[in-house]
Formats: sequence, C-alpha cells, structure tokens
Amino acid sequence: MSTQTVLSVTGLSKSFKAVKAVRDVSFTIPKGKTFGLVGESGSGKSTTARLVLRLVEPTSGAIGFRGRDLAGLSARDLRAERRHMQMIFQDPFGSLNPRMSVRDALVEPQLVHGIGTPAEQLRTAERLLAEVSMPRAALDRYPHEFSGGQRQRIAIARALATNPEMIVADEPVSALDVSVQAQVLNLMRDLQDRHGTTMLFISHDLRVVQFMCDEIGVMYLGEIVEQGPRDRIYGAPAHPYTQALLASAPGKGSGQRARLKGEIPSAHAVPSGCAFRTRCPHAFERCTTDKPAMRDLGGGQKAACHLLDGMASA
Amino acid sequence: MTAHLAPLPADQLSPAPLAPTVLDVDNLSLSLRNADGMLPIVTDVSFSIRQGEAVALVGESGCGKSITASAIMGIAPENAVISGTITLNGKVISNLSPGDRRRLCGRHMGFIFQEPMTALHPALSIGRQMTDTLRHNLGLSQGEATNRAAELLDRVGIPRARDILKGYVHELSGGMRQRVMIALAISCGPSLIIADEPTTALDVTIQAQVLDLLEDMRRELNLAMLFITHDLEVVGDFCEKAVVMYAGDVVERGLSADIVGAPTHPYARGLIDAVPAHDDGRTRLTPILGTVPPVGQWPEGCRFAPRCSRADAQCQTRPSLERHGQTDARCWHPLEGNR
Repeated sequence: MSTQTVLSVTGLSKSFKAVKAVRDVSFTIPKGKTFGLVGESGSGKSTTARLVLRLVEPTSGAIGFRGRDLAGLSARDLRAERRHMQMIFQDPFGSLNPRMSVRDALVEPQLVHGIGTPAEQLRTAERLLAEVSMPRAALDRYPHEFSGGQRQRIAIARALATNPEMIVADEPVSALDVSVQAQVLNLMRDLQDRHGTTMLFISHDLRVVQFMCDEIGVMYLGEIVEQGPRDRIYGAPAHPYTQALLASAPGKGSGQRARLKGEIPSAHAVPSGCAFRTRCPHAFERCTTDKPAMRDLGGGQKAACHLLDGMASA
Repeated sequence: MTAHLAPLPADQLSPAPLAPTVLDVDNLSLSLRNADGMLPIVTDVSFSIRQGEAVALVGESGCGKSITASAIMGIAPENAVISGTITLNGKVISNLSPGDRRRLCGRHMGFIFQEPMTALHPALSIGRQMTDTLRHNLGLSQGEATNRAAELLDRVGIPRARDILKGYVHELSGGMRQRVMIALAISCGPSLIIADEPTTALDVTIQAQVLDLLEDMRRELNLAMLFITHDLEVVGDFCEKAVVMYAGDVVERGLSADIVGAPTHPYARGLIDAVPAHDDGRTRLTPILGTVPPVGQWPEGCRFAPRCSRADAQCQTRPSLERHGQTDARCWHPLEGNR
C-alpha cells in the first residue's frame, strides 16, 4: 500500500445490556482522507464515533491507530494518545466550557499534553484563531458572546490545538443555518488540506457527506450495510437501503421520493437475518433466515445484501 | 390598496388558478414592546394562499418566519404589537377579539409544529386530546368523537388506531407523533393548514413519508397550506409558491420553481449556492459571508446589504418589493435570473 493507514477499525461492537448498538463495524482511513458514516437516528453512527475515541468502551473489536490498538490501552496511555485524536461535536456549547475564555479554551489542550512554553502556547492560540478566521480580540471573550457558527470555529481551533493526526467530527454543522454551514464546511476542508488531517465525519445529511468525504459507510441498525468511494456510493448505490436513503432526500421533485415503508426497528429487537428486511422493498424468504455477508463489488465498494449474490464474483 | 399584491404572472401554472383565496396577509408588521421601547421583528409582510395551494415561508433562523406564522394563528407573544390585515376566507380576523378568533381558528385553521412533543399534551391520552378538540369545535358526542378520531388516525396511516387512542405521545416514534399532529390538524375540517418545520426533526426516510402524507391530505381535502421551512429543496418539491424572508423582510416572492431555479434576490441565490449539490464533486461551497444581523441591529437600508457582493451606495436606502423578471424582489440590483 502506498498510502499510510491512520485508523483501522476491525470488528467493533458495543452492547448496552441486551441492546446491540454497534455490530461488527470495520473500516480503515488512509492518511489525510475523510471517511464518512451516514445513517438515520438509531443507526449507531454516533456510538461508533464514541467507540473510536473510547469515550464509550467497546464490547469487542480493535481500534488500530498509529500502530497501536486503542481498545487495549490503559487509561493513562489512552490520555496521552488523545493528543493525536481530537473531536468536534454538533453543539459547540457541549465542548466549550462556558466559563472559560477563548484564550483558555485554546491553551488548555496544550497545557494538558505538555506542549510548549506558556509564551508558545499563547502564540499557538493566536495562530489557531487566525486559521479559523476569527479576530485576535476574540481571545478574551467567552463562548456565549459568539454566534453558533463562530462557536463552531472556536471548537475547531481547539481541536487543532494539539496538532492532531486525526479529527472525529460528529454532526459538526447540523445545528447551523445553511449559509453558515457552508462557511464551516469550507473551513474544515481548507484546514484538512493544509494540515493533512485524517477525518472521521459523522452526519445524517447526505449532501454534506458527499461534499466532505472520500469514502463512505452507510449504517443501518448498528451495522455498516454498504461502504465504498463517494462516487460509487452516490453514483451506483448497491444496497437497497442506500438506494432508498438517496431517493428519499428532498430536491428531486415530489413524485421522485422513494417511499420506504415503516420505521427503523428498535435495537432491542433487531430482525433476524438481514436487519433491513422489514423495510426492504425487495425482501424475500432468505432475508429472514440468513444474514447477508459483506460482498466485494469491485472498485472498493462492498455491500451486504442477498440480491448481490450473483454479482459477487463479477 | 392591494397594489403590492399584484397577481403572479405564471399564476395559470398553479393547480387551481381560479380557486378562492383562503388566507391573505396584507402589510403585516410585528414589533415587541420591551423596556427599551419597540423592537421591530417583522416588517411589511404580504402574501396570499389560494385553496389547494401550498406556499412556503423560507428563511434562516431569526428571519421572522415563525413569528409571522404565530401572528396569523393568533398566538403571538403578549407584548407583540401587530399592524396590517389578516383575512381568512374573506373575513378579516386580525381585528377580532381573542375569544372570537379562537373560535374561528379552531375550526378553520390546523397547526403542525416541528416538535409534536411540545404541541401535544404528555399526560393526556392521544384519544382524549383528539376527542376534546372534536367535541369542542364540532359539538360531537364522546362516542361520535371517538369514532371520528379512530377514522382520522387510520387516514394518516397509523395502524391499530383504537389502541393508539388509548396511548400517550411519548410511546410513539417521531414520525408517528407527526402523523398524530396531522390527524389533529385536519380533524375539524379546516381550510388552512399552517405547518412550521413539520419534517425538520425527522430522519430523511421518515421525512419523505410525512411529506407524502401532507401532500395527499392537501390534494384530497383541497387545503391551503402555509409551509414554514429553512430547506429550499423541500420548497421546490412541495410548494407552488415561496416567500423568502431575511431579517424580518420579505426579500423575494414568486413561484417556487422560479425562486429555486433562477432567483433574482442575491440572498435567495446565496441560500441555494450555500447548500452542497447532490451531484457536484469536491469543490468549494459558496457561503454567504458574515451572519444574519440580530433583531434590533438591522441596517437602515437594504438589510442584506452588509453581506451582499452587489451592494453599493444606493443600498443605503430601503428598496421596496417589486417585480423583477419572474418574481417580486426587494432589491436595487436584482440578478438577471440565469435561465
């Protein structure tokens, strides 16, 4: 392989008592690339992000990052490793301490990880603010003094403060108005290009994922049902769920909306066989009894559906 | 007197060209009285909706779209000072007493909100809420009301309607809750439905189901619908006409197809360009610079001027809403419409 793999997730699962929230999720992200996880609420995409960060302890599976398995690290080693893997959340109020000035919010991660002298830390804070196009005067102000878009810029600057190799972004623009959303998405792309940051990007918004991501995993009820390069997923979706998801998106004229019946079942009662069969327009007998395996469709695209059996060897 | 409500040129394209006007909003302005005086929230909003027609009120948070709807519904905040005329089925309702207004609106307007959990009572059964509404507005007996409620739930695609009537809102999924809201909204045979971001909180596959249901109801019952949303893509799919708001102003008004396809106001253009398109590759987005000015800090002239690339000295004066090409726009330097 010519490109270096930064994150390699293998067989990641999480059960909360009887609820299997995430089941056997595997993907890799090459250096400088963005992997997107899309799905509806309850699909397990946010839990997957938290598992990768080990904010939630995995039930099983491995999280290979920079040559180590994060799943097996002690709390102390994990803390040190977090310097290289930072996060951005949907609600910047959740990640910014309301009583901490912007200066302190940007200096603190450096302090925690012992990066630089106080003077250097402040210089870094100033540089980060400039990188996210915020005025230097913002340093002495507090999160509540800013708009949602500005707060998300500050949260991004804070995530960059330790110069991380990877950023996990969970619905980073979902709370923002569209005009501001575009500013933040452009900013994230610029910063990624400049720093070569690898990214795991979680969103329910198919347009945003298409814009941001190189590779995409489509999640349904705790599993990845299809994954592959962006153009394959959007141009030639193979799994009936991916097809329905793309066809449900507005902007195609009302007659074009696909009608996927029913709702996502509870994770307490995952259907037997293929988890999607209760809503699938193509379901047949075998889908109730056999769980479809992930099939390689070529070009880096994989999907788990019995309909693809004949195509597997092609 | 209603010169600014000149009929839209492509009116013949809408589904019911001769249908009567259900809602007419004429020069609606709303200010909030507070300790420092009057704070303008919405200025000079005018539009109308015919029977069977869906009109979108579009804009970002803080543009005044929801409070405009609340003024129409008669549930504006107590410190609101409202001017202008609101007419429902030919009857002026903006000068009615609160009690008369409630009686009229309970029957003739139905409401659907973004978050059904806040609009429906958590501690009353779904059946109780529906039968209370039916008995109060239509004078049905308890038995008649229960039967009618079950029919309504059935009609909006809720299975096991009789069981659901005994249940509570928290037992339902988001999509099912929104179906209950729709059943309640149509329960008294209204002529107008006001839907405030009805699918914003829903997943995309459920959103498609609920939009289909709303469209079916609109066509079956020949309803006029005011559809409040921030999502221009939904507007293009669902509404014949659109009214785009920015900082309390109507900045563009016309057929949805024209506004989505070839807007003349730079803000409407900006809203469209800011959304990643379905088919483009990894290019840059074109954001609107800056942020929406907060209420109370609106610029004197054109309120969009500080964020507009076409702004010049003329934009220090407030433009009026005038016909430019296919749509009405409040702009000194409208775009050509890029057909």
